[in-house]
Amino acid sequence: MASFSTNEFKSGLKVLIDGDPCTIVENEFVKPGKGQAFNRVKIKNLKTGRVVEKTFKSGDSVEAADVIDLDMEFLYADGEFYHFMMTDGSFEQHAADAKAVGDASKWLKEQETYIITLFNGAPLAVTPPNHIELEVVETDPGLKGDTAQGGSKPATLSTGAVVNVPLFIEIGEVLRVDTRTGDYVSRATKK
Amino acid sequence: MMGRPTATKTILEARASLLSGLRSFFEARQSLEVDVPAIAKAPASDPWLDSFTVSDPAGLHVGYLLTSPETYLKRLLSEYQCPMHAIGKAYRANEEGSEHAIEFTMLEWYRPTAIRPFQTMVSEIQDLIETLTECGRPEVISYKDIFEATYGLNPHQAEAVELVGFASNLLGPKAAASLDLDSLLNVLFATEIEPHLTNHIVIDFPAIQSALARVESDGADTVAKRAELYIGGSEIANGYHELTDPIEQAARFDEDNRRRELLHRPSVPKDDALIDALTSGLPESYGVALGVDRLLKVMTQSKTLSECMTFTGHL
Repeated sequence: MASFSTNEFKSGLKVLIDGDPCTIVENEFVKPGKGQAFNRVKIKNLKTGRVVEKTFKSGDSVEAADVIDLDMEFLYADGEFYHFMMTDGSFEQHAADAKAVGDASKWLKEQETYIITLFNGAPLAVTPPNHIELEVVETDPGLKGDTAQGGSKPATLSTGAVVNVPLFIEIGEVLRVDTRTGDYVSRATKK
Repeated sequence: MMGRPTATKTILEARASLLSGLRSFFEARQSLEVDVPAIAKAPASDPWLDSFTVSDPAGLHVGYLLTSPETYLKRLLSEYQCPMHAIGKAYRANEEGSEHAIEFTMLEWYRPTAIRPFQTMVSEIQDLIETLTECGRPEVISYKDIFEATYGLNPHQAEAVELVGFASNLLGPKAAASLDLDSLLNVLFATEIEPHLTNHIVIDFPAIQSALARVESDGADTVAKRAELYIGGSEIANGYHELTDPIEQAARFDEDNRRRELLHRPSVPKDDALIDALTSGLPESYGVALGVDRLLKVMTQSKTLSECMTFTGHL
């Protein structure tokens, strides 16, 4: 199994801590003038999303985690699994469970490309694109003439996500939404 | 473009002004500025200092790049018995990070004095910071007081087994159990205490961390007469009431090499020239080493050392 020494530590490095895949968020070299050197590292557990601080003796090694990020297109959900397909032309498919998909489930749209994080070959996490265009399937009727500012209302999108939108938005319109914040960005540009 | 400077012009101007300020400070105090070789036959023996070795083009060993000018300055001190200082490069292998660089600028000064050397040293460090920075006069605090306040243990009496529990929280039980008393104290101090030291001089270190400082008994505890300056959570300077006994000095070399062996680190040749200097007579004195780049970093509120140095990460 591959491993990394503390002097190879840098942010983004994927390592195995207590059996869990983790990514290094921050690495700080600590050494009193006359004393032993340590690395203080902020580590994000990729399973739980929790960030913890850990200290290593400089020179120690940590096992590498077999973690890889791949672009995949969302195909369909079958009630138990979410199915994705590689976009590299291999047509290779991967099934992610609800835990791996997590909050991304409300941004899943067919034929859209997502980043799938694989751990030991199995989907561990799904990251939607920062911006996604989705159709409004339900919202209160728009108010005539109210096109500028003032007030917002909830709108349900085709994926089930609910976002706050301006009052003039109507059912059937396609909106651009920021998946990181869940905020409405704009009406989608007509193609 | 590759190889561009890592410091801005503004920082370089602050650096130039700090260097000239330091020189004026020591000139006003009748200290002789000396510059000494960077290569020596014997490196510092401290178990956790890694020195670069120097070879000639044929691959033959020449010596070591010094981790501090200590050996040369003490040899000069023994010969001329006057206050002196050096500002130059020091080299430490395997030290790289936001607070570390393998090549950095060190100010080191020595002052012979028989009158309360330790207290004189502490107040001279205070004077320097008060004169040259806007940090104000550093507050003096004992290692014991601050360690006790944080961990509830007397660091001079504590044994390794009592500290392993605290270190386990940081490193996990296996790595914590592999540390000796010195490293346990270091990791506990560096993680929970050092970040909170805004402008402090910590005095009277555990005896195991005496290096080349004198060890004294203050009644109940035996302490190393070391003083360390911390500003903004960074270690800036390190001062010793210097050891002058050549026999004790030789014993510490042997002890360092014995610890190096235990830690599976290479042993180093004994610095016979330094022991000779002590034998011929080192005056009662104190010595302080100060990281110029680190001081500039806290003065300019820079995030990393590399922002304060002309070039870093170029190798």
